[in-house]
Amino acid sequence: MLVESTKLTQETINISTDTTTIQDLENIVLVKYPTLQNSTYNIAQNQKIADKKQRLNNGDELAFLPPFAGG
Amino acid sequence: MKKKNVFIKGAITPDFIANSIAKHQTKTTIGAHDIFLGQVRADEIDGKTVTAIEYTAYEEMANTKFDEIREATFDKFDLTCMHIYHSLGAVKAGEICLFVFVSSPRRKQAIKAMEHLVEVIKAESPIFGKEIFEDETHQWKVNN
Repeated sequence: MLVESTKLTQETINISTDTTTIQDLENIVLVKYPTLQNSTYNIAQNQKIADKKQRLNNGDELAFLPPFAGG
Repeated sequence: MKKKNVFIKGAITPDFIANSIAKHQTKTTIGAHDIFLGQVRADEIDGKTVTAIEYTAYEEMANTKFDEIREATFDKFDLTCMHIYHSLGAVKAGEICLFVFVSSPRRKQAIKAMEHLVEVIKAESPIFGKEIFEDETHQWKVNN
């Protein structure tokens, strides 16, 4: 769903020291991929669903996950 | 502990399920099994019929999540064993995409554990489903 919207499966984003939280990074991603603004997703930090206030660490893997549909 | 792989490519076959049942016949402390099978439904949406669901997953996170779910369920209920399998890739309407199998000495624990498990799997596992219609258009499925 999000891949269709961004034409992208993964990307490495280098950030400045002003980008400290997941929310900050999400703002960067939304500017880059504005179509995501119409999408529903949760963000996982290192494979755990994270609160947007959570701080970013060097080498973090963030995933934008659309609604789950297993089963 | 090595992570178990929950995912099976394509539909889960009735043979696979039957073999899984057969493998438990040596475990004679078990008195009750509960089995849940999720089947792809040919939903009609805006006049078009779903012919298949194509499943993808954030596999590494999903397998970790399934380990956590398994562990928490073992802590909560008196179970002898527990198995979870989910399809990846296309599963046609009428075919099985989820197979959950719990075994316990007694039925009530097996039944309660199963209800809990299926709800948690649906809500927390990062699995995504694309509903494919007969005209090859699609829409993304959302669990509710």
